[in-house]
Amino acid sequence: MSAVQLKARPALRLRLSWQPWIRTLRRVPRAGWICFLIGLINAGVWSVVLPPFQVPDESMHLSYAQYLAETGKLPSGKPTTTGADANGQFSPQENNVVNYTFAWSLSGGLDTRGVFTPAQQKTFERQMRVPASPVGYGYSTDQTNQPPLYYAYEALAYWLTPSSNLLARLAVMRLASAALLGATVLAIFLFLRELMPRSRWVWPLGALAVAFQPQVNSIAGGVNADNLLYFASAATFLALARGYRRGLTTRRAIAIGVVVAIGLLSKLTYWGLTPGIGLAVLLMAYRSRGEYGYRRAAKNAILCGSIAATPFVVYGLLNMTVWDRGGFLAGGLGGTGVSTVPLIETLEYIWDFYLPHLWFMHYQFPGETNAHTIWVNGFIGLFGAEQYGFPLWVYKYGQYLIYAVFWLAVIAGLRRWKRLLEWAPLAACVLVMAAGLVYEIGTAGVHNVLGHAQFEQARYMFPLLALYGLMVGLAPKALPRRWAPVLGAALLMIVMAHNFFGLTVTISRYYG
Amino acid sequence: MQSATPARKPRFTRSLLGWTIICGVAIFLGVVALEMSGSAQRLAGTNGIGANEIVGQARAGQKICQPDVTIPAGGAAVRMEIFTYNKPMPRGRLTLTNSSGKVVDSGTLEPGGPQGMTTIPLAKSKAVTGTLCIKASGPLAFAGQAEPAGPTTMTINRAAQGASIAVLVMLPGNKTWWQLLPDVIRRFGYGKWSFLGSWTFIAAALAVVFICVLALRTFWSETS
Repeated sequence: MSAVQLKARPALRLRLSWQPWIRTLRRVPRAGWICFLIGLINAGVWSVVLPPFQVPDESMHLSYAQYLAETGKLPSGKPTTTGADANGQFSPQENNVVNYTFAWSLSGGLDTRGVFTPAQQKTFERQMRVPASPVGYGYSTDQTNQPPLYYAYEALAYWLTPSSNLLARLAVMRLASAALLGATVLAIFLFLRELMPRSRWVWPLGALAVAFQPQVNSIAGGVNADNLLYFASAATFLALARGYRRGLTTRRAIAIGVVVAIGLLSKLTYWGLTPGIGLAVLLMAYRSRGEYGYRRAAKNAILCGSIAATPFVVYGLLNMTVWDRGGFLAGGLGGTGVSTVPLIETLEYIWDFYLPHLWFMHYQFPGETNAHTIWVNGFIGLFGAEQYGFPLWVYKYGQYLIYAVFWLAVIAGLRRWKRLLEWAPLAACVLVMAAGLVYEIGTAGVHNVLGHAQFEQARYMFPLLALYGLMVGLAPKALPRRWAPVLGAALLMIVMAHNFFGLTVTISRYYG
Repeated sequence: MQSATPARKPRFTRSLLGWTIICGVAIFLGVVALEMSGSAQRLAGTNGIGANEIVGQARAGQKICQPDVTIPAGGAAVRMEIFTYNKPMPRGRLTLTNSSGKVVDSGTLEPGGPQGMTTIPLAKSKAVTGTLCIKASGPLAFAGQAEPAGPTTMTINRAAQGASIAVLVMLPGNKTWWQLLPDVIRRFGYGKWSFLGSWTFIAAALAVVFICVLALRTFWSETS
């Protein structure tokens, strides 16, 4: 029986059936599934190219997932003690693998290599045969205050691996992450279809720009909770676009609620998007009032909010009661508090964090924090622990290409100003979403950089990947109709070459 | 409303699109061939220690040693980050001793060079694992890693220092990526799950070609 009766009262009867969802999936164009496959395979390739633990914070994400898989509990996040427990952040099995893959030194120096010679490989194989417990202690790492959904997903991959070898499990878990990139790419394909339903070639172009983005793949090829965050964010953009274009029905309200719940349980960064999402849902409910009436529109908005919030509230209460994780958010979002820095100063620092310093500003980051280096160069590609990348000329000229694509997209949007006006209210909500993320990352960045901690990385903006896909997809449409696909093909080949050379610099970094 | 010349525009666009793709692929293959033909000094191995900080400071005449250095087959020189306090490089001698204390290889630190990354050619280029020592006529400092401190940490005049020196072993002469490809493929399977051997390099390369063709084909068919 595929239908579930949720409410008995006729006025509130809500009939949930899987059939419409399956029909929706069946309606996805073949090109969408191909984009999914390309995203999955490309991230899969990155997953075998990147040595173990050379994805940002992978050792910590793995330790969280392994602890959850082995104990069924979330890590308590107790601070690590010294002495015998000094390595207690990870299980003895993970410590063994980290040590004998030279993971720490490999992420430190550019000339360092991991297991590189036949003699080192023999030692490595011998050490991997030494039995070590996979059960860790759940001590605090930089990731223990994050919500558990991604780790539960990875725990499934961990359990399903037909081997207790941690490196085998890591390989399978990395493939599970790669599947999330495939899903992200598919969501962006469908998002573009909602925005530009008559321009079929734009959908794969924008989606494939994300599928081939090397910095995205350098995360998607590893175990990192960002991957679920990227998927949830892309799915949010899709759900909002559908709800806005087609009206906020009960089913669409549920869909938005579900993707927001996934986002909230994936990584706390998603909080930055929520003010804009809330506004968008209210806007959709308001627009739907004519079709469904005020009561039903309001009910749908409330239903959406309830579905989004309930799992997170349950998670927070479990943090406080069952899991003993030190509070509702398990200490998360603490880094975003900059109570010691006055508001004007904070805003100037945040400006400095993203944009060039202006003449009238008083406050500036100490040292050589450079917004351009962080966001533009980081987007072009600074891999590993931001320690290696392309030759300098790639960043020098690559930025002009990014600016050109951006302005072409703006021109294309202005050329379709009537259509732009139709979407303007939702675009305003998206701006609020982006501003929320920018503020959240900015305040955390101010907090960390003033504390002399390395923080800033381009990947923190990747919840907005759908907008990158939109930019690349839209840019060719600035040209006359007959030339637009030609520019589209050129852009597609540039993003493919970008991905290819991202792979080759990674191969030369670790194996050359 | 259909255009006055309905067949011409698509034909023009398709033809131009086809030529754009052909030219793009040709340029891409040319750049790859050029990049692969670039010749430079290449690594034969490392001791797995990062050059993160200055860890070893030896005065003139002091012997500074780093145990557990492997010279793999084909290793012709060692490379280290050596600092001389902004003075010219002093003359020095490098020795490599095996576990029984016998000197199995040696090299000379040529005087007068600048501080920084310094390459010291080995006299015999033998594949061996042993202790690498340097004794120089002036003060030297070396880059390495303060952790892990363990049985293979460096010594100065036989006194353990709780840190390790980063040592790179270089292949002889310059090599192109074409020449290095077999080594890269072999190394690709190291330090991973045993199932993910060298074959994954070939599989990954084929997969990249496959998705690029698939992406272009999809775009092509969606523009029709």
